[in-house]
Amino acid sequence: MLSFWAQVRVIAYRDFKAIVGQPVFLLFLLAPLFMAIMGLLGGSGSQNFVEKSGRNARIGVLANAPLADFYMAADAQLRALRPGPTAPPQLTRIPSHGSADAQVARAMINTPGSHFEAVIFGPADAPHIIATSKDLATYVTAMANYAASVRLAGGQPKQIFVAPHVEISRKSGGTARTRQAMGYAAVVVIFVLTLLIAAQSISTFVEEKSNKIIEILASAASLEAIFLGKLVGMFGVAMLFIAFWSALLTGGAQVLLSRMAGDFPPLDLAISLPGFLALGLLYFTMSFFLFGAAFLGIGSQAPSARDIQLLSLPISVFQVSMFGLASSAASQPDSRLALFAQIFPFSSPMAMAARAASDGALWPHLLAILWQLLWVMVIVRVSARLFRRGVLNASPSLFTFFRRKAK
Amino acid sequence: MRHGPIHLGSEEVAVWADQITKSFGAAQAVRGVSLSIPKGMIYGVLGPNGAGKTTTLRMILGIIDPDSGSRQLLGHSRPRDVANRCGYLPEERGLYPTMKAREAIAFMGALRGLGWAEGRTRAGEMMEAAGLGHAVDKKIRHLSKGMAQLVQLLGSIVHKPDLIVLDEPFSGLDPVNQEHLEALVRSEAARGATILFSTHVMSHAERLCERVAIIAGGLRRFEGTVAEARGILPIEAQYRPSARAADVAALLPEDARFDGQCWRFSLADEEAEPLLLALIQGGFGVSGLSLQRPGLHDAFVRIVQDAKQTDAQEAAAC
Ligand SMILES: Nc1ncnc2c1ncn2[C@@H]1O[C@H](COP(=O)(O)OP(=O)(O)OP(=O)(O)O)[C@@H](O)[C@H]1O
Ligand SMILES: [Mg+2]
Repeated sequence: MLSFWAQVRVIAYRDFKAIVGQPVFLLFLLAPLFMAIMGLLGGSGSQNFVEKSGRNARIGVLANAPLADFYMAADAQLRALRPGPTAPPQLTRIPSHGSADAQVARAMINTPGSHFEAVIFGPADAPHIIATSKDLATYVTAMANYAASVRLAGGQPKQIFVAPHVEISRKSGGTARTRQAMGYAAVVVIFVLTLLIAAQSISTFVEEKSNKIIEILASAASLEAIFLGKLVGMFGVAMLFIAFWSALLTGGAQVLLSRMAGDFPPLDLAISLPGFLALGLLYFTMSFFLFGAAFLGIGSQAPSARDIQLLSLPISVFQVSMFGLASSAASQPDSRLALFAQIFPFSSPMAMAARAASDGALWPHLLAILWQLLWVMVIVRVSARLFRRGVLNASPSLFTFFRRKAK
Repeated sequence: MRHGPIHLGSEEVAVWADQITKSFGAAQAVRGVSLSIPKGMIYGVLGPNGAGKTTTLRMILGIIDPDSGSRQLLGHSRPRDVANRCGYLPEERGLYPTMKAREAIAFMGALRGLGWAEGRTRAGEMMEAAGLGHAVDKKIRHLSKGMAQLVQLLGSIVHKPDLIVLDEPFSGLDPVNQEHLEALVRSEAARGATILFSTHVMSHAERLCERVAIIAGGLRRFEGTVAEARGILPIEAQYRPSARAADVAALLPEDARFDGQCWRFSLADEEAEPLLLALIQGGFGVSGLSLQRPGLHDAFVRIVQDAKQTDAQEAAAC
């Protein structure tokens, strides 16, 4: 007999090639890119809008000389402090309408298509400002105050402002929170990847069944080998996917980091970043095989594609509830709930990946991986049994049993 | 394990099954079939639809396990241990539709331990020889049903197995391809392979098989050579005496009927010669005589009908 692992390899190789060879796979591989592009397009679209309205935006000065001149001079001074994209809108002078100014000002702001984002009117010592944003109101307030002080000082504008060097810093002491966030991110990434790829394995047996290929496979290889081969093939696809995207993202991250250096908080993890990523990959592997094997086993019970659809709802509910469990564990790393999530086989990989962010000890990971490995083997075995009974011997399978009951 | 006629590890008998049975739920698909197929033989399993042929073959190959009884394949009691030395064409044909023909054959070989590269090379050669050279790089879904079936057949023998099991291999093939297939079966047998195939088309069995088993209603009803099967039915004789035609009746079997020119009656094998002598000595003369042995087809129909009757009687007795 061809050794077990050689059969696994043959089946995995076939599946991998079949999936990767499909034109649709490119779409699958690039799906995140399309999403990112859509996001960027949407993002840059809205940014464009801001810039456009920014360029055309105006601050209305509803006043006559000399007050209006004081405002213009103050604006010229203050504007120098806010260069580039943070520059406030330009001032536009409009003759005062006396007691009707309040009405006029409101009309200037509210007229559809109007470029006025703020209007200042009223007497010099008690001006009235209407603005569309707090930031703008602050600017116009500062401008009014500066104008008032210049006017009171005898009309001589002086350079009285300094432009300090400003540094934005996050408060220290956020370590626990960033670690939780990293843990949570690990849970999300593993969940999404597993969802994306393992769910496919549900439908893969339907292909074999509908094409009657299972008989050929089953006459040559043990069902365990077929099962594992399919899982490994799919896992190869997952690895290709991950390799592609980590290469792309590492490149992207380098560009991003060099551009906005200092604006990122330092990644403060309980273990080194490479260690964290390696553990994450290991746990993704476990999660993939756990869910993949379970789905494969359940999917093999379904006689047709229609029944697969019937199954996918409870499966999704289960998967999402595991995600919920692991993510609440990530937000309370030392709770009993977290411990439960780390032990329960299906949430264990996600919860343990989260734990890696906040706990430096390595032995729990070794333990967890052995524990999960045990479950992978159990589930592959159980699934293969289910499959042998359900399909080849054609005794009433669990699935038909449930369906009959449902009728 | 039951004591059988062969020892574990014996290679003289390629397939041995002893009273294997299989039920699906309440239905008994196979009620007890025994087979013993010597190495290198072309062996036919015949039977009407639903007789249990496919189920028997699947049990022999270890795709499903029998409920009771024992079996040995190439001297091993676990069929999967010799999976690499077996080839199987299932009744329900199936290949990956998007795979190219060459890859499909290489894949089936790889499943049974043949290297991919070697499999691809052989696939090309075999397809060329089978007249499918133009389809080597075509996807399976672009082949006709019969062509795909040939590809699958080639895939099941690409690794040069010692035992080839074919379930209804001729169905779906045109007459030319049926002849191709017969030639292929003969050449595989000449190579030393044992071939076990099921069919309900008697002409193929008649031409190819050294021995056949006839299964009906889940039981083996006959086992032996094709000639022995045909021997179950009497010879059909037509006799035209040259003189005194009316008086000859006394010498003829009871079922003899005269149609104005000819006597028609049936004869057992050993009765033919004495009767001929008696007719000549009696002075009736022979102006026309034909002895026709019924084909496997008629023998098959008779055996299956008898089986049905027996089963009905058994059911009534219960
Ligand atoms: N998987 C199965 N589940 C339930 N019943 C089955 C199954 N396979 C076969 N049977 C039943 O077992 C009996 C024998 O079937 P089998 O397929 O072995 O017959 P066969 O001789 O190959 O017939 P055919 O010439 O039509 O191919 C049939 O009555 C069939 O209904
Ligand atoms: Mg059949």
